[in-house]
Amino acid sequence: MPTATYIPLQTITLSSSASSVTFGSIPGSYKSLVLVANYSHTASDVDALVYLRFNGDSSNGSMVGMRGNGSTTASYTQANMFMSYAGGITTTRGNSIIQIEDYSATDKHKTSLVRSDLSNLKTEAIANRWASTSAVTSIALVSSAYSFASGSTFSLYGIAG
Amino acid sequence: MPIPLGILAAAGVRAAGGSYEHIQTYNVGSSGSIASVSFNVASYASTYQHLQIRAVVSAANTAQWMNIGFNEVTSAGSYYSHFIRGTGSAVNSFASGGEGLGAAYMAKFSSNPTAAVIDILDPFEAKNKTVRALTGNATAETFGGPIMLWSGQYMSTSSVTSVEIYASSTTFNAGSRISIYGLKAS
Amino acid sequence: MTMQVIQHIELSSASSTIDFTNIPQNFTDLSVALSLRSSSAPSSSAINDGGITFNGSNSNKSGRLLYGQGSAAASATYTDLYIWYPTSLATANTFGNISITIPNYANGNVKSTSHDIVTENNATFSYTMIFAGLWNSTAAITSLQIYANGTTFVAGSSATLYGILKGSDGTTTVS
Repeated sequence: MPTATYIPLQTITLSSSASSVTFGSIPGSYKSLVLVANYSHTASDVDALVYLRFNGDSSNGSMVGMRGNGSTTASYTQANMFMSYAGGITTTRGNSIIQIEDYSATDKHKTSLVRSDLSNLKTEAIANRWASTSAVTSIALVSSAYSFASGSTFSLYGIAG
Repeated sequence: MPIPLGILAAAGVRAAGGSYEHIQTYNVGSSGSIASVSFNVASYASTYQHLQIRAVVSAANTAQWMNIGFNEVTSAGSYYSHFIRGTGSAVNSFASGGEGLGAAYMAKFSSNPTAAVIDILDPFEAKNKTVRALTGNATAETFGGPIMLWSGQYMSTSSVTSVEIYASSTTFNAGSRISIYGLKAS
Repeated sequence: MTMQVIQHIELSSASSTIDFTNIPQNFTDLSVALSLRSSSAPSSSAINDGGITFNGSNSNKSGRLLYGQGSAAASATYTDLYIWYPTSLATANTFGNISITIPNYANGNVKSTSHDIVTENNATFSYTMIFAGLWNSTAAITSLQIYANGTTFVAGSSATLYGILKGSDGTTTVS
């Protein structure tokens, strides 16, 4: 029998600026996680970015991304995971949507897919890999330069399966 | 009785229960060696408007690709597909027709798990079936699918009765998981 | 439960627009699923453009696009919230497949949109696209129109509007 599936876990709305946001104590009872970020920064910087970290691990991450900046295309790799990489950060609003499949599995590394959009800078898609078989119990979004602005929101959902 | 959060007794807003529902999950077991997964969706035509598949997979041959097919139709002329991808060094775009196992090159296998979120709109309507997928595995390679936005079409106006996910020229490894969900329109 | 259909519209006859009005304000985000095809080809192409309008306002919109056309990839900048779809010159009975996400549609910030767009065609030429949009308005979105440029959407074209509600499970923590 099909059952309702798309479950809200937690949302934070920043009441003041913050350099990072962390979801902790994530229950392991779902198949997928979806994180929707709608945010701006306290300043603009075309070279800045937002890291994605699982369980506080700043190692064991890698990514491949592609972006269009309105005039050129680019693809890149990095030895870290990202919510937003190419095309920087902005004081206007942007979206990032992160899909993490089998986040609580202990028999595989964790692959996540990201769509990250800043309309005055870029549209981007990223595939991340966290080279760990540990279940993901926390997710941190860390801005490399300038903070997430007050009013930014970050919502986490679980998808059963 | 207070109205539950998120529910309005107004036209166009539906009662609690949700519009996104899990239908079935296939977990490839410890023996692995499964070349395809088939979901029978014929009985859901009156329940759901759209379908979504979420998958995380690996395969015995990491040089191969994952395909999607419908109604067990494998004739090459029934499918066509396109994608844009980032290889880690370049963005490129390709088209592929007539691969014989469904719409081809939807996702590439690698030593990393490959993730895919696949959206099939109006599968039960009298139109060709257009599929959109975001797939990737973060493995930089020139002919691979590290990060891709993919589209495919099944050129038949028949209602979808089954959806097949193929490990083309290989088999899914143990630990692979493919889930199908239904999205309601009322 | 989190994801609820607000309204589903399937055209029974050709129309240049699909309109959602009186959008309830109690959700957090909107998600729109579009299956579109046009009755003609204004630019003599298998693909045509259209757009999204909020609250009847056709100004203060912008976006950036990354797209593949089956043989090459490119990027472009726009002053509208664009979509693309197959025309009468595309393979018969083929409709496009679009997802648009609009977080925080009802709050007092400007509205950013994320579009994932595919068109399809039994030929090399077809679009796969991602698009970052912005409606530079702090107004809550109460109506949403999908429109075709210079043509009409055929009967059978459909649009499904979902509301997604944030929440707290009481277990997951934030810091």
